[in-house]
Amino acid sequence: MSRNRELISNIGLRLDGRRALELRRIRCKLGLFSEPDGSAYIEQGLTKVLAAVYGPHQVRGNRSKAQHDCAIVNCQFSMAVFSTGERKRRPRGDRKSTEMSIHLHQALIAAIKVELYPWSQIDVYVEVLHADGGIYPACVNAATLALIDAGIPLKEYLCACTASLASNDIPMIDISHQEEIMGGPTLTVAALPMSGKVVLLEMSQRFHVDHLPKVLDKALKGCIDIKNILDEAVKNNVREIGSSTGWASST
Amino acid sequence: MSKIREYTISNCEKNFLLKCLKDQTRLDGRAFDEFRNIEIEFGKDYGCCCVSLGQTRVLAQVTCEIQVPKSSRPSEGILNINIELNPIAAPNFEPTSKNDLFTQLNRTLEKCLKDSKAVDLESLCIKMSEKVWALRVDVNVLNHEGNILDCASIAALSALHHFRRPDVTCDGEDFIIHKYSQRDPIPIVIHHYPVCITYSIFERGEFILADPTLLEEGVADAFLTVGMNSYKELCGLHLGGKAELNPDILIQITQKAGNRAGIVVEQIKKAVKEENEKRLEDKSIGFHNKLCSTKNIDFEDLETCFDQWRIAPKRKHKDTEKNMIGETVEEQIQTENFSVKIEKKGSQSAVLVPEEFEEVGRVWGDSDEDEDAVVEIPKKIQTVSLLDSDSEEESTIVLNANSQTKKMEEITI
Amino acid sequence: MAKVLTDRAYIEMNYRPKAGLPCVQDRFYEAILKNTCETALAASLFPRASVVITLQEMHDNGQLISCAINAACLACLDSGIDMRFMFAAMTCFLTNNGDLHLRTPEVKEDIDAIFVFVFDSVKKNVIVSHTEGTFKTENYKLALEKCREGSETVFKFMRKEITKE
Repeated sequence: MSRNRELISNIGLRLDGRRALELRRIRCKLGLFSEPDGSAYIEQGLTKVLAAVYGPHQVRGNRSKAQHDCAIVNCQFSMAVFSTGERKRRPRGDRKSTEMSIHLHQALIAAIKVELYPWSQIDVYVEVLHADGGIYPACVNAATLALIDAGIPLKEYLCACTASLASNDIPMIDISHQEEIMGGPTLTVAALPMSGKVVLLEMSQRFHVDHLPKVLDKALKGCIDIKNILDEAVKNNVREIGSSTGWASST
Repeated sequence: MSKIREYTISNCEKNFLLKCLKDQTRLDGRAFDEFRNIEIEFGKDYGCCCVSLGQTRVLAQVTCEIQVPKSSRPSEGILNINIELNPIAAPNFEPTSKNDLFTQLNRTLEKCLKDSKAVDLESLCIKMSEKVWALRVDVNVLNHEGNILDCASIAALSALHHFRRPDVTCDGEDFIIHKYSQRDPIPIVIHHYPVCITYSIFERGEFILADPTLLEEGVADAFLTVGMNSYKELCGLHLGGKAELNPDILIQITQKAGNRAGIVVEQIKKAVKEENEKRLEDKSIGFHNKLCSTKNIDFEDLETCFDQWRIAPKRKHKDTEKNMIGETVEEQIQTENFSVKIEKKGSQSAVLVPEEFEEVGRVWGDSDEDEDAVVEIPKKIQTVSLLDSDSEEESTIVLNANSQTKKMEEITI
Repeated sequence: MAKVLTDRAYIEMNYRPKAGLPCVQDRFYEAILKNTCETALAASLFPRASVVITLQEMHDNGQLISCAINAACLACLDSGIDMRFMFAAMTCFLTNNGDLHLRTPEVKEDIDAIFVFVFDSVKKNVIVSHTEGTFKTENYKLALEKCREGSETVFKFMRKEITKE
């Protein structure tokens, strides 16, 4: 960890050659697996995340948790033991993973139209295959795609993005692992981009409160950009599937 | 053992609270951005403090130990922060279960204090890669009346500021840890004091309440915890619950929090300074000074309480040996010393009965005297008309008047 | 559900230390407290019910067990639950010069043995006796009598506190 490397160099390039407000390359695929009702795979830079959705189905396990007016959403976040630099001893169940599951649940509850499925349960399983910064946003984006693949109605796209502040007060978005470690504060935002509502906000480390508006603003813009990319991917997927049954030819 | 369920908030309570909010009032009379009083008390040990934020109470203790440092950070000490939700705080807290609230509180406090590098960990190093001080902050929640996180963060900071670790000297190979009596212990170096400030959000940002109570927390849609220090630097931010907020509201809240943080940090520093002065002057320190003050209720106050009990308008008849009608008007003016009688009800338990209610006690408790009365009450209800009765009802019904009906009949006109 | 007792209430104790996670020593305190409370509370009045008593250590200066037991008694009195008698605990310290002290001695190294006795308020019988360290039988008997006298002060204090409020 050399601290003399600037997060943004003199010419305005970051450690991986991006500009301050550039997102990493996003590649995604829907409908990977046959067993789950919906599945998706997303790559944001080097971070790779898989998501699978089962449901809506009858409440399994504890029947008393069933709600009469909405579905319950069961989220499980897990990191593969080979996903980080050092081999992870506990893939799930430690405090950080439980916290991630809770945050994921919080974000998804805001986006899914749960009131359409009383007495039911929707399971969302997320697995991180390679963690290179921005794990939470990648999980949220993957979960959104998987839900769309499963055909569960959503209020709108749910996207998430990280943002940070470089030492010379320049906001950056989509933080990689190196940049996280090197000491910059990280702001994670999950939002419904079309309506501009923030669903989850998390921050670690510290920076002055006056910088918050611009960092938040850039993060929300990042969410809108991600939404456009995801939208493109979903439309392509539908076109592919549809063309095999002949929908595309009718337009 | 079977779980005691969490107290469910009824729809009436929820609607009432929301209605009050629309009228710009809070149930406990505070303003929307007013915080409850903070009281910080210290114990006899270094690093022990009890903080109460209104009715929410929390006990924090800092202990230290020598450990091997983490391999990724060989010259830094270790700081562990742990919040325990004890069964003493709320009936639904169990000693073994780790529910969502537990994880959330722990992680937010950890992020606020550890990730923001509030404590100088480099100064806790004794020998690089071999021995470092490991600080452990245990926060025990004693009473849950809303906003545990604020209280816990204040307690953790006060305890860290108050704590002193033993002095260590090195002579070549050996390290000597000195007792507190041999050498003065050293306080911990704290760079800045990040306090957590929580706001409850109702109706998608329409109402924002600072420092929510238990009921307000339960009714709220979402909450925002802001970790801030006195330099107005954000040390942690957490938006939770079913939130769908406009970013402007968030910015607004963080601005408000900035002012509050400065006040709280001042209070912490002042409290610790006063405590240290007390120690130097050898004054009596410890919890017993403030926490254990019992209220003295005078006998006269007790008497007036009992009198209120008697004077309250009577709808149903209480049987007395005296004339019923005459009493209803006159007793209201009487404030003489009433007499109490102690009745034994079986071995090792007794009942304190004021004289007036003796007859009632008799019919209620001892069924062997008036067995019929208890069973046949419905049949024996008689409508009696009374003169000058306080009751607003047209006809007053006399209950459990089996043995007394004869007397009543005599009185009626 | 398995802990339901058909003829009496199930009494559960929770003891939390001030620092660190609960360990075996705390379970031991819970066992002592449970024994005391089972004899003192009129548990047969509440079959198939449970009574949970939770204690939190605030500060330890040597008399932790007796303080916890006295606190449990006051809490039961305050809650209004039916009790057969009040109970009070006293600790006695035996120092290496053979003296018995009811207050914690300044120098901890001088303590040879610690005696903890719990008495009931009606007949002053011993409910619980716990010892640590080595001692002679005479010392035990002397400590028992000393604690019995001392327990009267505790009962007076309890009665005063309850009638005050």
